[in-house]
Amino acid sequence: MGLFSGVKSLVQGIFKDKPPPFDDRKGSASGTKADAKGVQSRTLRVREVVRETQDAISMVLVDPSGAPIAFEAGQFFTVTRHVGDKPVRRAYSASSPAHVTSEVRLTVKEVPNGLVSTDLVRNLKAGDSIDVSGPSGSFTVPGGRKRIVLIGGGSGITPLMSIARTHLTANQAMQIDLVYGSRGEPDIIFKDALKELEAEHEGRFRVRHVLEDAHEIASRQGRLDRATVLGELDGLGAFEHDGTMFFVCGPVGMMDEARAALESRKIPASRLKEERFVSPADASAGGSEEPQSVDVLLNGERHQVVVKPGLTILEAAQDQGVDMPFSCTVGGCASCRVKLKSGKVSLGEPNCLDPDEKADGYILACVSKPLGPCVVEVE
Amino acid sequence: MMKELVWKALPAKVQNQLDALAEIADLFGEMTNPKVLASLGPAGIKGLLLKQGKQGKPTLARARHSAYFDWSYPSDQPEMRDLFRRAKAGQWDSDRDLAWGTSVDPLNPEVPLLPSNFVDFDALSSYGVHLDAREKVKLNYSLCAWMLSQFLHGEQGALYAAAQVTEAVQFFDGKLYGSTQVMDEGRHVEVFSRYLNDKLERLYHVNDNLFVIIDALMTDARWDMKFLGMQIMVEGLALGAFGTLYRVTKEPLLRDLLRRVIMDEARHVHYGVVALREHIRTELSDAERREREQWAFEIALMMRNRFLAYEVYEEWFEGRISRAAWRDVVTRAPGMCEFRQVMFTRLVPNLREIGLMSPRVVADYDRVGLLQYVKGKSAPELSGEQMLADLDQPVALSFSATA
Repeated sequence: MGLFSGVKSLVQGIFKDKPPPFDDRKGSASGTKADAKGVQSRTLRVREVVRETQDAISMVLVDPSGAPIAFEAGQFFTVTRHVGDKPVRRAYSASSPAHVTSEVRLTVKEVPNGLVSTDLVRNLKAGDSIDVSGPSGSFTVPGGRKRIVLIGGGSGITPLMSIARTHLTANQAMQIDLVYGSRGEPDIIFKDALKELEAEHEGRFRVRHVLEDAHEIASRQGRLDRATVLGELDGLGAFEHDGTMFFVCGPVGMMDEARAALESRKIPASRLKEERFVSPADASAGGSEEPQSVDVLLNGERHQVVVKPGLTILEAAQDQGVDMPFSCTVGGCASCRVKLKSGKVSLGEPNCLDPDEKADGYILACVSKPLGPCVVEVE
Repeated sequence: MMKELVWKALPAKVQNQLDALAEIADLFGEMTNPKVLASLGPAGIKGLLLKQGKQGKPTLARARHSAYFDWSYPSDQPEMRDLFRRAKAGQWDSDRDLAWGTSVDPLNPEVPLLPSNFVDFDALSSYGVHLDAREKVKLNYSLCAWMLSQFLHGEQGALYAAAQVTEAVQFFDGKLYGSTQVMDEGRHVEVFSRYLNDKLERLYHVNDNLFVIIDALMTDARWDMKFLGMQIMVEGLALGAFGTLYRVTKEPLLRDLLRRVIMDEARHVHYGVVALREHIRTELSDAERREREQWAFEIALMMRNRFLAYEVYEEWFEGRISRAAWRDVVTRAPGMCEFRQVMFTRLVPNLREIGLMSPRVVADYDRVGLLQYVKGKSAPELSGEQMLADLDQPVALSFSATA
């Protein structure tokens, strides 16, 4: 058999086009990387709960099997908690460095009346189990960057911390600056860790605290509005290099101000990345009070899914064994984007679809509930 | 004249196939020792002629060695025991210790995988192939992915050979040490495979000559031939290749990965030298020693002359230039010259140290220009840290963007 195929390949070498001398490995990611569809759903164990401030914690999670937890700096994980008998999902960013895969730290700040954050910050303890899927998100640093500037407010520091911890180690030539706004000195998340990181990478990592309350640690007092952002960035010389990339994460108002500041200095969209922290859509709201039929067009096949009241299209499809792509399940990553071919849905807001996508008829299956019979297509 | 005219009249594909066959004939023609020919011949037919490594299916290499058990568990080789201790302490975990979150853009000229003059593009131009800046970066990407793919294939061979050697070796401390090497090689397979999959997204097929070496030593029944083949020759080749890439790449994750692999490999070569030194000098007959000397010389030649990235040629230049022209470009490429320099600086002193550099082969090494390396330091005289310090010396290859 070996002889036959060997002779055949000799002959083919002369008379036929040979196959390429390599295999394309796109999408053949190693076992530790998240599946392309993000179906890395698993139960992790809480190894430790670290109190960062009065209303923020970091949960240190490990896989009980010892399997690594891989992600890219800046990405988030989706945590599922049961409130009553209903699963509630929330996305939390990793704050730990991406090269440490034996554990992941997700940092959570208590949101007033927040169903999940309040439960986690007040009740979570070492030894608990927690359902997590992900990682998701594209708030990550592209290759080849020599200088990045991080602008964060409140718990928006979380993905920025992971980015700083990761890239200060991985990219020895990278300069990173951080402008971080908090209410007061006690509200600064990672205060000591930032100080240590700044000392360890002296000159390569500079931190500027902006506090609403007066304190000596602050380089400036006030809110992170447009003028403050510009003042701090000018002080750091952030606009002096054409290749500098800006990463912004925090409350909506702060992000709008930061964006306005950067746009006023003609920073193109290609050099700006934003991660919006918003409360996900209320899972119980919207939709029809009657079961609705949704046809899902997937890989050239039509699957009929019955969506009961209260369920999203994605939840119903999963229950009925239809393998739709998904990742964060809270409207934040667009992995479950589908085209609405016919019918009407209630699309949970906020979500990460841009206005053009909505105008083109795209919806997110994870936050959409049918209002009548529908047809959606997975592209 | 007539011969040249006939050759030119042949279609390019036929020319290439005949050129490949002529290379195989040359290789076998160079083997003057019949035992060497018997040892490498079957593997040569499988790898070079039948191309079994490129059939897209698993290969079966029939093992013929015996597992050696010792129920008294002696402490018989203090130097190996010491290596075992160092190996245990030096274990690393790629998940924990490497920054897999590093973004790698293989086509970003600001963080080049290979320096812009790894290949002599003027030499390529002299054969009528003119590449623009983007194509040059892409060719370097192909070459880097090709090199890493061969590392991965070599590490797969090393993994199984290390397991075989652990079974076959008669020193108990050697068996204990061997167990750590099996783990090391498994980790190397893991990291190269992961880097190729996740970062470069490409895997080249195994080079035919590498297949021949691996197949020959996997199927050889003699434990010392496995040692010689894997611990001295293939690991020496690996150190040369890893060392070259470590010296010239600017990609931080790859550099860190290679640094850790080189530290492991330095231990492996040291083990090979310690295990073979006494055996070759005192246990073998003169005829057996002569066979091994000749075998090592043939493999050294094969490693010098035949790792010519034909797989990259097929991807890029088949039909545009001849195999002979590509051979000339690759042989003269500054990066490949650096590779040969680093490889033989490590390999030749180790052959001397284990007693395979008697006067009867010295002339052969001199004839092919490899004797210049004989006075270098052998593995027991050189730690992994010293080896890395050597590699961290300034290198002639530049890092300017290819544009």
